[in-house]
Amino acid sequence: MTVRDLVGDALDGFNWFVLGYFVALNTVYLVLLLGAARDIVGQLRRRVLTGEEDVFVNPVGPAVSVVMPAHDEEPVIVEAVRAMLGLRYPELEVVVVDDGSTDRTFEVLRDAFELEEVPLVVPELVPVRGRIRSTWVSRQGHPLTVVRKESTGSKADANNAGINASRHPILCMVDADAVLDEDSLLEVVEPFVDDPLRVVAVGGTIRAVNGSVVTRGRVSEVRLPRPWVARIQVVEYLRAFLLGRAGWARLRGLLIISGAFGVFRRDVLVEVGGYDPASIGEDADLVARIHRRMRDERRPYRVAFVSSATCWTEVPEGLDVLGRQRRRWARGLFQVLVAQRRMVANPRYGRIGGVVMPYYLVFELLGPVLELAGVVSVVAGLAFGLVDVDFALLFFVVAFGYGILLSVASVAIEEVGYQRDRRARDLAVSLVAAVVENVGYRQLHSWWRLHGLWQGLRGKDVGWGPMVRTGFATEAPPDRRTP
Amino acid sequence: MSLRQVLTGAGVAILLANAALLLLVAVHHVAAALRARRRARVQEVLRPHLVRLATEEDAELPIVPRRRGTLLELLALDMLRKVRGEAREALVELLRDRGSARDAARRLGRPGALGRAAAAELLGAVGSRDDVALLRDRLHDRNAEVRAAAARSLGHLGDDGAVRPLVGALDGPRTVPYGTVTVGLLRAGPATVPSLREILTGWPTVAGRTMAAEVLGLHGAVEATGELVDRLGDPSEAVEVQAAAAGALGRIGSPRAVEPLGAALDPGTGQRVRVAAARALGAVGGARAAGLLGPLLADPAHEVASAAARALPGCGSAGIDVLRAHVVGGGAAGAHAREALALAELRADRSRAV
Repeated sequence: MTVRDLVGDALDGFNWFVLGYFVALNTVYLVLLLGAARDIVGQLRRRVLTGEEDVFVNPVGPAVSVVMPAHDEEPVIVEAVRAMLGLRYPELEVVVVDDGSTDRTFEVLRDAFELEEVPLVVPELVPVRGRIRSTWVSRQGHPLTVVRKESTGSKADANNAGINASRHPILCMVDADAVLDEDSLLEVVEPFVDDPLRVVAVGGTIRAVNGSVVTRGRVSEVRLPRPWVARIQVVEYLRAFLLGRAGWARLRGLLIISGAFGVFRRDVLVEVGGYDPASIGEDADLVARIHRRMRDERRPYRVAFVSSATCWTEVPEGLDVLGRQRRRWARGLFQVLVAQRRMVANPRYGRIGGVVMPYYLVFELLGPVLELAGVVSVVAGLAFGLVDVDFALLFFVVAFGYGILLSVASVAIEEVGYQRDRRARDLAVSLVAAVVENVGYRQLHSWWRLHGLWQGLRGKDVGWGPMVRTGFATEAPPDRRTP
Repeated sequence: MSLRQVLTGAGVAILLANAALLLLVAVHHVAAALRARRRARVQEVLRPHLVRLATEEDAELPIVPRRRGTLLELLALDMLRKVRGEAREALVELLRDRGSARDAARRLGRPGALGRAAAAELLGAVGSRDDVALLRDRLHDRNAEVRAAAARSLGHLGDDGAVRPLVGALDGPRTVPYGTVTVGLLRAGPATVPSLREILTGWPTVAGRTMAAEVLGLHGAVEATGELVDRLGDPSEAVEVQAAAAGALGRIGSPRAVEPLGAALDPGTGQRVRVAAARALGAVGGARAAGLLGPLLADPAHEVASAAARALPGCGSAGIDVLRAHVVGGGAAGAHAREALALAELRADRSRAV
């Protein structure tokens, strides 16, 4: 047997292994999608009935504190706060944490809402590193509190200050640039009303707002963005953040609730010590710690997901910003899995430890290594005549074709399930984006994730970097929304 | 099977699946658009007639083809949610004349869950007391949505005979969500008070007694003050029930409740009950309540001290005097007092501006 034969056999074995990995990964996603589809149809059929109104008219329903950390959000903050105050919910307050902004974030708020400094007592229920400098309320009678604090460069620290300053038993943590549908809060709180003793956290759907028309803080027309980078993310968010999470929630395995829109019981947040300022993936870290605490104490609990509760957020439209974001997510996931390594593959932690965390370890964290190595291996093997052409074609059909099928299925589920009033052109472009997502973008994404994992292994501390904001358009046509 | 065969099979399967999905999406999109346009056209014709029927005494509906019957029903139901009084009665009569209530009663027994739930909702809108028994049975339906719809509809029909089945639906293998039962009992109105008083004192489960206390408070049932005071003061009672009783007493606002609420502020009582009692004292108000709340400003539990401070302005000038006295004293109590005074002054400024 020659060296060439040995190398060929080894390559062959490795390629079959990677092929098996792609089949397994895509099949897991298919299972999640099918589960999510059933759940989404159920939730949407439920909306035809009057269930949400029960939450709205229920005078003993839980009051909600909407906590919004803000750092240099001058272009969007006033409209964002107005929109949160205008959410359809019987009793809420909005707590804005101005985390050491260097622009006029606070000043525009002060002017718009006639803020007056009031000596609020803010207990340290969870640790906060940055000193609170002052607290303000609105003279206009809005249920609005603004907390000004010194920045420590950590959104988690700002969130914790918001937890301490809030007064209600349910906290809705949102980003300052998040746009919620008018009924999103009603919908996302419903699990707490239906099952008040067990539900401890609920996630909602995150969608890309780019290209859509936002009028007075609400999405009035859903449109696709023009840049293909953003269009692909629209489909990606659909698959991963809507259907993927709905599927996991249905299996009682939801590990991540987005930091842009997550709702928690305040007492549980305090119990687990709030957000960890040292964590990059502070949102995933929080939910992992909640799971751990509940399981360690053997308390019955549920982490739910409401697919119809929508939060719209701006996604990066440039590859550089997107790459930075994805590397940060990968570093965050690495940190969480390391911090909670005791839970991984540990049956004591039920489905979360036994199934979900191993999935994230194998397919989300280490997956990029295999994916890229597999592609390189097959291409190189073909080039050197070490790989059979038939096998190479099979590899690409499974790796790309199966992936395309899942992305197209996501668009189909959204079209059939949600029945949004969408232009045919936008639907067609979504389907094209579903194909493109798997050819080129996915491999680039794997490269970023690999880079992020490498940074995590090296313990490299890389900051968030600037996010280019375009601000909300007020009845501006889609063409002029993006630079 | 050769590699080429596997390849071909996989490729064909994936291609066919993609093609089928694309076709499904395209067909669905076109069909949905056509359906929406057709519905809008029909609604444009029917809606003005329904509005005239609801608002004019002698208006009559033109003959509506059978195939438009479902859409007419949906439109009428949608309008029912938005109108009151004679307009509502006219629409209910229309739907009853068309046999909608009869059809809905029949559909309650059909296999499809969504159909049963929609039928239960319809009965709540146009049904009568005769339908209460049918809806009570649906509280044990195997489908959660049907149970919830039945609970809501029983609330709309406002029959006292539905109170115990509704509260009973909180427990057992097939339950109705707590919030849905609460709203149902609220909608049923003050006629439910006698049954709720009995449930408060004699129901075997904590959820039931808690629910009864909350709804009695929301109904402002002064006659239930005695039972609520008893539940609040019973050390063997569950914390949830005690807290709900305190909240109810605050809503009712009877001065009889001041001393029992004051007793519930004792440090030996659970924090949740103490916070509820403090808030309730602020809602009842008066000088005595202010006197009971004052010492809590220095309570080591932040939630208790904060609740007491924010409740004091509700006690009128006596409450404000207590706060001012504590500002002078300083410390944690002083901080809570300063916060409450500042917020009270802002509220007063707004009232003066109006």
